[in-house]
Amino acid sequence: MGKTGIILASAFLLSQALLLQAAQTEAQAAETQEKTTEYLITGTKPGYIHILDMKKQKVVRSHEVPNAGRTIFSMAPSPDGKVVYIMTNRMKSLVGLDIDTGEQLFRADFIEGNIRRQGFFAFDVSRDGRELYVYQLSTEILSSEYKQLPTRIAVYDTSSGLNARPIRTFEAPRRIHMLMKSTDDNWLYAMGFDIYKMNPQTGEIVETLPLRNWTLENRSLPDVLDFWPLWDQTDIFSTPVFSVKTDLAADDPAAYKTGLLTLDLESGKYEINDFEDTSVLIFSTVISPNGKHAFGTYTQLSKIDLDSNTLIGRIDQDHTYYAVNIAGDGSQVYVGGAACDVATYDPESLKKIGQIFLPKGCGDQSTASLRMVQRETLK
Amino acid sequence: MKYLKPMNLKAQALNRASFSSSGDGAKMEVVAMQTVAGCASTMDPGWEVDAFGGIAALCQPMEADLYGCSDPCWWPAQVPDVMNSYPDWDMDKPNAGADWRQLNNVFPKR
Repeated sequence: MGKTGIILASAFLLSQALLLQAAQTEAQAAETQEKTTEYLITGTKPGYIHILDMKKQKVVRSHEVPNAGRTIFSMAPSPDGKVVYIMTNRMKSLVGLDIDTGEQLFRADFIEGNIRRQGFFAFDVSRDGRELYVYQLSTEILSSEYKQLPTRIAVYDTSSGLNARPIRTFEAPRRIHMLMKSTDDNWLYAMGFDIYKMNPQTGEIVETLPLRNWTLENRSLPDVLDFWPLWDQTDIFSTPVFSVKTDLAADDPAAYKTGLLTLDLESGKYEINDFEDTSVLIFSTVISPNGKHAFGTYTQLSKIDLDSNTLIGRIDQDHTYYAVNIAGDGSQVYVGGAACDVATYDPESLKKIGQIFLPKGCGDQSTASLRMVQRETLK
Repeated sequence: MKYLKPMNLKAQALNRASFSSSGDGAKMEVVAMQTVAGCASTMDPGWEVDAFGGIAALCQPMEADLYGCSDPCWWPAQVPDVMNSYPDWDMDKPNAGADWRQLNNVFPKR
């Protein structure tokens, strides 16, 4: 065999080895995919959480939350998808349940003696799964007066069991309704009048992302209502923002603007872009996994193009839903919250393609979160 | 607010804080909706009237929104405050759409 022959033979062997490696990688990916499944998590009155396989359109687990006070509010899954943490008991407790078995693994009851303390939706779990950050409002009940104590963020160790006490606390601004951990765990974002970027060890505010204190000219203060953590697929928090152009007449429809606020929890990139003259309300939004679109829900399902910041689709839903989320492959959009069903929509046509009524009495979801988690397949 | 008259000292103080040019110098007005931290006095549109002055943009049907309003104590004047004062209002009534006939007024107490 000549030199050229040796080179060709080597190239052939190398290409075969690469093909084999690619086939093995593909097989491993397929095997991993078979072993894991994407689930949607929601909650209903009088205190249940439900785990749904949306591709199969069925409920695979329903667990009762102990001492839930008939309320399920915001939820956050652990990074490994094994535990879901739940703001419950009229926002006076945070509970961690094993998603598979329903066993209560973590519980923090906030009230201490004569200090009445409660959360207000806002909490998050760290990306390493070790710590929980909870916003708390405290009132000391004295014999003849209520004494308002400073609002604070309490940090809990997730391994603290069923009588968890904070491992550290720090004061935080009033009116916080969202807490978001950055993907590198270095920062904690707290959303209130503005968004405060905080040191999660000390509570020091290192940067204030302007919202109420935005500097848009000829613009009213912004309106934001959001306590839905829905960034599972992209690590980008998004929420609608409503405001009024004060240089236009009050009866001019173009004066009323709906925008989309996005905060990338990985890069810290923060934007607010108008996308329509306000014509419907939107309660919550989610960014598609490819980053090209946002979907918003309330009584209508809206689709927004993020390149041009324009509304490109809108349909009436069967009823009002509060929360929207999306499949990891972007193939389905889910809406839930408010009543007792979760509906599935096609993201291209915005046609309804599925609806699941939740078990255990079809209780209302009210303001429960709608979280997505990829985890080991439940048997 | 021009049709509402403050009836006690706290309401008068609230009126002064909201409409005076002193304080933080900003008149806060809710345009569409706004997050309030539970059981606050708010005139946030959304219960009797929507952000457009009508009712079409209220939650549909209103039963879908009932517990979303009461659980976080959003409008404690319009919907019972189940966070603190009337925790049993929703007892045995998990589905507002089906159970609405049993969801009664809480005041005056009978």
